[in-house]
Amino acid sequence: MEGNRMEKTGNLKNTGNHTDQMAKDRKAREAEKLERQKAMLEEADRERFDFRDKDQSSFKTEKGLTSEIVTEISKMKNEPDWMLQHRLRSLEIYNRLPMPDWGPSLDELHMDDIVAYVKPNTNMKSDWNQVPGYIKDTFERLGIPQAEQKSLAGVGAQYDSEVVYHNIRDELSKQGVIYTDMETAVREHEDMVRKLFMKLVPPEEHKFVALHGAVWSGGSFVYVPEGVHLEFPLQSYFRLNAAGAGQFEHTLIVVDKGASAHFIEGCSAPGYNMLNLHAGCVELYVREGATLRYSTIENWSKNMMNLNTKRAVVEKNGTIEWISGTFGSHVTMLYPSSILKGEEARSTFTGISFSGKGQNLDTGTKVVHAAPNTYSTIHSRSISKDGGIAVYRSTVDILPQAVGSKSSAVCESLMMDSASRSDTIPSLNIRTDASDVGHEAKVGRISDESVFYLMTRGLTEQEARAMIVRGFVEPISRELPLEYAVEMNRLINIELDGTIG
Amino acid sequence: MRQDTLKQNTRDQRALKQDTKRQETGKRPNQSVLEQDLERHQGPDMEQPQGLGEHEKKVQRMQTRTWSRSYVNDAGMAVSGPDPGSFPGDAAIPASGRIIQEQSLDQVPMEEDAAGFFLPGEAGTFLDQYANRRHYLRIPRGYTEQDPIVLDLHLTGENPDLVDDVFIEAEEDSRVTVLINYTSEEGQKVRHYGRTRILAHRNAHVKLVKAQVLGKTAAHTDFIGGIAEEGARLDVVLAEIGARNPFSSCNLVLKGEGSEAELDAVYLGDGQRSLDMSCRVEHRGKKTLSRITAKGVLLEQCKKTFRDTLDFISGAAGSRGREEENVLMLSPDVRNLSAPVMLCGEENVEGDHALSSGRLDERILFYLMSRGLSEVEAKKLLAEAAVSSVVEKIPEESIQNRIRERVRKAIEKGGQMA
Amino acid sequence: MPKNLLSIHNLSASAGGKRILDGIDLSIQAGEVHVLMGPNGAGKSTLANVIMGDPRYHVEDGSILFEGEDITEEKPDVRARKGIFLSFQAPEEIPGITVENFLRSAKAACTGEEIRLIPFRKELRSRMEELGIDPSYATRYLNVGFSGGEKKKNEVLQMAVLNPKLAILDETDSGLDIDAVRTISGSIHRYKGKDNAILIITHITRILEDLPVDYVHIIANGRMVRTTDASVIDKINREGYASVLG
Repeated sequence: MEGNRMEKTGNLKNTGNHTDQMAKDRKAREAEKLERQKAMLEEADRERFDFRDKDQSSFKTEKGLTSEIVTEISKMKNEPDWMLQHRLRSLEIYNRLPMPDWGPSLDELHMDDIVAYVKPNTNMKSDWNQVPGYIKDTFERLGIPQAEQKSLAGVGAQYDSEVVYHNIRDELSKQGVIYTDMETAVREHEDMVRKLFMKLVPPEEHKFVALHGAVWSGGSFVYVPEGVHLEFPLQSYFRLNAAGAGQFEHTLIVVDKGASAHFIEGCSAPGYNMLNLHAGCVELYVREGATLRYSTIENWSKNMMNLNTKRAVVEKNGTIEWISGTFGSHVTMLYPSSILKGEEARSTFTGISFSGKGQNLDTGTKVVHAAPNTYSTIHSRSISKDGGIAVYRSTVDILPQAVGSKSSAVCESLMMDSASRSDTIPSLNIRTDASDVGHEAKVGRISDESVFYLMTRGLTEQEARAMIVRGFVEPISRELPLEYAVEMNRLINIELDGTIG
Repeated sequence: MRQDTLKQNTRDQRALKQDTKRQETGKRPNQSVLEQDLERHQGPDMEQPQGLGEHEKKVQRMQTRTWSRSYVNDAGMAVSGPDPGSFPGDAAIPASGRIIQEQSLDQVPMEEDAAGFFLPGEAGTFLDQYANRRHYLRIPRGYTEQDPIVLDLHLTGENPDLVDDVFIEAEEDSRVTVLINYTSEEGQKVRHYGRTRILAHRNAHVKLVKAQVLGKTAAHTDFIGGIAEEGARLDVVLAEIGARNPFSSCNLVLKGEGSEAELDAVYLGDGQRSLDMSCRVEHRGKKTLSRITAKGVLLEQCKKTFRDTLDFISGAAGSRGREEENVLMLSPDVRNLSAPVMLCGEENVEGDHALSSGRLDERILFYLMSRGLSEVEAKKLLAEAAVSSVVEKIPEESIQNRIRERVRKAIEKGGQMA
Repeated sequence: MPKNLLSIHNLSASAGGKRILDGIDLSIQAGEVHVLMGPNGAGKSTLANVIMGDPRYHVEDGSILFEGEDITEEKPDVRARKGIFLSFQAPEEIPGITVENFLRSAKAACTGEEIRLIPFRKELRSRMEELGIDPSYATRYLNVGFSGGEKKKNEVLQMAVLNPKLAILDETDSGLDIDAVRTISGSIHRYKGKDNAILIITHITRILEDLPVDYVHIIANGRMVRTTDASVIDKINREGYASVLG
């Protein structure tokens, strides 16, 4: 174990050298050399996420899903009875609901093979030093504690199904801000949780949300009291470690009247050959005049079935801002949705997805305008390459009472080669004339003229293309906190290096 | 991965080709705020097409399915009907002697049926068996028919049932405009069921205009399919103005290199009517060009669903496509659904889509009224203006005027309510 | 005894809850030329639009009478048919409606008569000629793709064709070159008679050079601060508004 880690660290160092070298003799690079470097770079970078620990879990459920397993999960978590009942009801719904009859193929997914619940052998610690060494290593490699030290208001990290580390700055606790793992919230903030838990996204919604309702584990609970403005983002990092496991974290955030917060969610998992499943659920309650920004950079490994459900309800004058970057996973179905319930509620959705070899990323958003003078903007960009499939899917509903509402969507897709696919499948349902709705979509490739132009200024073709792609995603990366913007550009560079050759 | 795509596509295609048998899970006991909101305002009829009669079925209308709650996946259509008997009229359409005409479709050279894309098998069988007007038109090689070939089809109480099946074959380098015009006596329960297919050989240029200005009690189900070989061009103008619940489809396949398609649709929705349209252009050949333009006016309690799809097949390098829909809504109770889909499996293409929907611009209304036009007059003028770019493409002024008149009348009736 | 065309009493108006006009009085007789001046944002255009019945503005108080009839609550088309015309500062672009079709409909609405196509076409042609507008513009969509100057000319063309009793010209001269201003001035001259009146809103005064200005109104912060004769124009040109706002 220890030796293994050393070796990996060595590799990481190599990456650094390579990068330096690349910067030094940019012009001198030849195609072959590039190819070799690229392969190494890719490997080394993947390394950063791919280190996997020996399975040290203390408890593992049987492979299939039964009411006994669900009851057992509930018991282990010491849950109140209503939560157990919720789980059992969800299980029943899960068994009843069909698989979706639209979207990417889920044929590879055999639910009976999914280990529903994996519990690492540690209880939650609020002092980083008390977290067991191997888990700590994992997160340190992912850069989580450093991030906390730097600029984050609070950090939660989930390792497989349980939250292992949760911390919040003292001053925030004093202001009444609650930031804790979901299990603790069920016990310590039972009244609030019971009122809101899976009320916005009920288990009836679809099969995977029902599954989530039955086996959910971990996740974050955030409450920002009236008028409190969080200056620094809260961050949760989810990591899936066990092979063939599922991660079903539940995130519930309430931003009370006039308050504001920024929540960042990051996800990754090492690359196993076995298929993993992630069926998380995010419920966001944005109260009157409140603002919530919810940022996600998802870089699951390429064996992940990422079937995630996120929804926000926004009261009068409130704002929800979704920033969503999807890079990893084998299959993703993710459509953060906003219900604009109060007058003049607003939503913005800014999404980017990069679909490479073996990936089918079906993402987009839903907006329901359910009150007068509500406002939504959608800005989506996708890149598909090496046989990757990028799908943008959306619905915009303007209900009859939503007079004076406006919605505008712009979605652009970049095709890097003809082995890939890029589909745009929006639908609009407009129920009042007193509304302005616009939708624009574009699909295309990097224009030869642009590449030529940049090459006349001394850039190699690859550099030119990379520059154009970075320009393409710039409007999205601009919205991200710096370290995530850097991370996203890094991910894009990794993906792009495979373009030429 | 490609297998996944193929699998998915085959699944969708299969579902599309066959009748949709999927049952929705029905009303759910425990609904979210969202669902309750949606259902309260949309009612169950949004998902379940109303009044599926004896010969009607729910069929898939999207090439690629999406959420059921987008309400665009399926629609009810008449897949067959009773034996329509005969439909009187001249057996031959007035045209120059160079046009080869037949009243059977036995000789139709079909390698591929573009109209079949949206047409359920049962409906195809019904058309094959019961068509009471069959026209095969062949435009000989290199020949240009100067005047439009006009097929006027008028349905009356005495001849209420028309099932027409038209096939236009344009040989190499030929040119032709065909105008099919459907009208009916207002108040009569008439039924039109039709299919029009076009095969444009190399460098041929076919313009097909289908003007549906039936009465408001008419039933109307229509399918258009066109295939363009190398360098050929298809222009389709589709006017869906009348009928109770018009249901139409148009699928154009740009098969040959350098082929082009221009599809212009105009629709009017008023009263309690429900319009359902699916249009698609498939870019298969290299350097193919297409443009879909739809202009519509909706008022009162009508419902409209318009789906347009640009499908760039892998290999269609150098192709460009553009779709655009502009909807003018003139009443708070309209239901306006759109699904502007773009499917792309080829890198070297440019696809564009733009949709806009909204009410009349109040500034423009004020401008017109400041020149003395009453509100209703101004609305009439603006509604006419909204559809004029498409209406002007109909090469027959009397039909243009009939459409404008219908738009004006609808505004007059609906405008007084607003 | 000259005929009283427009009389505005104690008019106050607001938009979006904000008061923009405050107790305006204004009276215009047939045969008169009035000029409305004032700094940016004073309420000049607002007044013009309120007279025309712009739904963006809410009349809080006061009244607008035209030829003795109260039109405060009337819709814009009714006002137009009574003989009020507004040349817009930024006319709307309307695709799908040709200039000719539009003007013929408007003329029919304003006169209440059917307008026969051939004579109308003839009249339109000659009016366009006077304004130096290319005849092909008759079949172009209303203001679509017109330059700023062409739009302004098109407004004056509409005035000439509709022949209103009161023409309000809202900065019809701004953004035009000298020749265009001269052409427009010519048209205004031809239009102007003893039975009708003009209210001109302007920043630059070149358009007024050949016109017999009867009154100049200075408006500031939504209030009428001064009504005087044409001599004030020179003063404003020389010393700016500060000198007259006192």
